[in-house]
Amino acid sequence: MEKILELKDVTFGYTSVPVLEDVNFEVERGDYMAIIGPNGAAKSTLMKIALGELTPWKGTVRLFGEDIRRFNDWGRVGYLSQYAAHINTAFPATVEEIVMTGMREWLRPIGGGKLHRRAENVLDMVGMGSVKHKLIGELSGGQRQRVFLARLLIGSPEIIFMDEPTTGVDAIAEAEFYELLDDTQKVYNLTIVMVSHDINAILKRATKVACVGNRKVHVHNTPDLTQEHLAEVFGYRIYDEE
Amino acid sequence: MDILSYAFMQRAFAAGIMIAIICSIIGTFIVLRRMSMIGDALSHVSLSGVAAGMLLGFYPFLGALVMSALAALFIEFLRNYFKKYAEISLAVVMSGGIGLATILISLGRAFNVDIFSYLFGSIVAVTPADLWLILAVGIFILLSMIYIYRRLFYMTFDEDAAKFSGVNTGAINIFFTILTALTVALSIRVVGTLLVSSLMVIPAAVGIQIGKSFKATMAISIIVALVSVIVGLIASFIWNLAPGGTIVITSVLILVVVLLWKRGRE
Ligand SMILES: Nc1ncnc2c1ncn2[C@@H]1O[C@H](COP(=O)(O)OP(=O)(O)OP(=O)(O)O)[C@@H](O)[C@H]1O
Ligand SMILES: [Mg+2]
Repeated sequence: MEKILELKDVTFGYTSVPVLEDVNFEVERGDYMAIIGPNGAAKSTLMKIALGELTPWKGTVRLFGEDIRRFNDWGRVGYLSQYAAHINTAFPATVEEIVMTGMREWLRPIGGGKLHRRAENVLDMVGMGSVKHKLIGELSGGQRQRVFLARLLIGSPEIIFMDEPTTGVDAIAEAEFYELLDDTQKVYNLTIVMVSHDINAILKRATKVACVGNRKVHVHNTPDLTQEHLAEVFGYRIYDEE
Repeated sequence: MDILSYAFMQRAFAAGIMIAIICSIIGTFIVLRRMSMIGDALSHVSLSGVAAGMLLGFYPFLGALVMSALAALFIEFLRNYFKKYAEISLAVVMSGGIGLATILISLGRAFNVDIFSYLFGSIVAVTPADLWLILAVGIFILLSMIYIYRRLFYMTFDEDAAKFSGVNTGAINIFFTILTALTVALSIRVVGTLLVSSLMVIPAAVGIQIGKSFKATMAISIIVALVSVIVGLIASFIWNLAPGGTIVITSVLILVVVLLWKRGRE
């Protein structure tokens, strides 16, 4: 399988103390990679290193085979940060205006009148077609996350990184969001890397699970993941065996 | 209307309209980026450029443009050190600007009258040279804003996402701050140092209150600025008042009316 993301012997810390040490981490095309671990384990940090926002002390990061320091093909990558849910909700822009920004063609200074059609299609796909002229601040948290997903999808990325995309969303909307993601993965043939605290939802669909804790990252195929693996990162048993 | 038969009023209107347009476009982004104070910071530095020009005998307006642009670069430089506290860099530059302006003004006691027109704006003071400078730099600012508009919109809403879509956020931030500096410096001739920031912030505030999209917010902001400048200049002419005051008071009145109207509908 084609390796889309590859971290080799990566060590990184914000201060003189490393939060990740000698990490090896790979994502292949078609993977649905879940990143789990307790608060402060360095899940978001891992993602930011993968995206080149943080530069490791040592080790290499490759995205689509290219050294991350030279990588500039960002059209193939989508990223939704952990704080997207906390964005200024009083911002005076419509759902459609927000989604348009996800298209590189639209970010050119002029033109792009035909792109509205594409925005419409993607918004319909995530079930937000009927609110496209509403202000972003008038939506519920769950609806807003769908709009952000639409903004990612409209750029037709090959891999999407999502950091706790369902923060602040109720359980039903969360379940719907995961289902929507399943559908879109099929439609768009996506590779997904997602940080999540929802172990049950993850175990149902992720193909691989990366456990982050104690400065280490251990990747397991989901069926091979055991209570012991989880206990090791979380320090306690995390789900009930049926 | 014979108000337009005076050449100086024609110049004031032409300059005022250009300033209204660029101030409101830049101002809307500034307010949404939570940088409302940047206008104040830059205008005080511009004033020191004006004072330096008067003291050393070069075109004061040019002094304002240069000092303002330098201050913009300095703000961006400081911002790297106070990432989460943009206000700190603004406060530092603003204090520095006031300090420098105060020293330069007290060094050259003789030009207090001229300084007054730069503080509160003036309709008789717009010379043909001023007007050409305002129009030329104004058009440059407008074209530049059209060029970065969509990317700036994206960044203003979600800078992280913009960065990972390949938008060169660092370069656009610096460029936008320089455009802001030029806008501020251009505006002080008509609105004055003390009030230029209001002309950037108040029309945007009205736009944000009633805009039902970003496009509408921007359009409302531009219209409010244009109405304020035109009404303000006429009032300034009729009652012989400093235009900075009449323009800003007009925009405040518009804001109050809009807020009351909004409350009445709810
Ligand atoms: N900007 C920063 N400066 C210094 N330390 C930081 C910074 N960001 C994170 N850290 C530290 O690095 C560690 C990992 O943080 P990170 O945000 O990656 O955790 P996380 O696994 O994403 O946690 P959460 O589940 O709360 O999102 C934490 O101990 C945190 O305190
Ligand atoms: Mg995190």
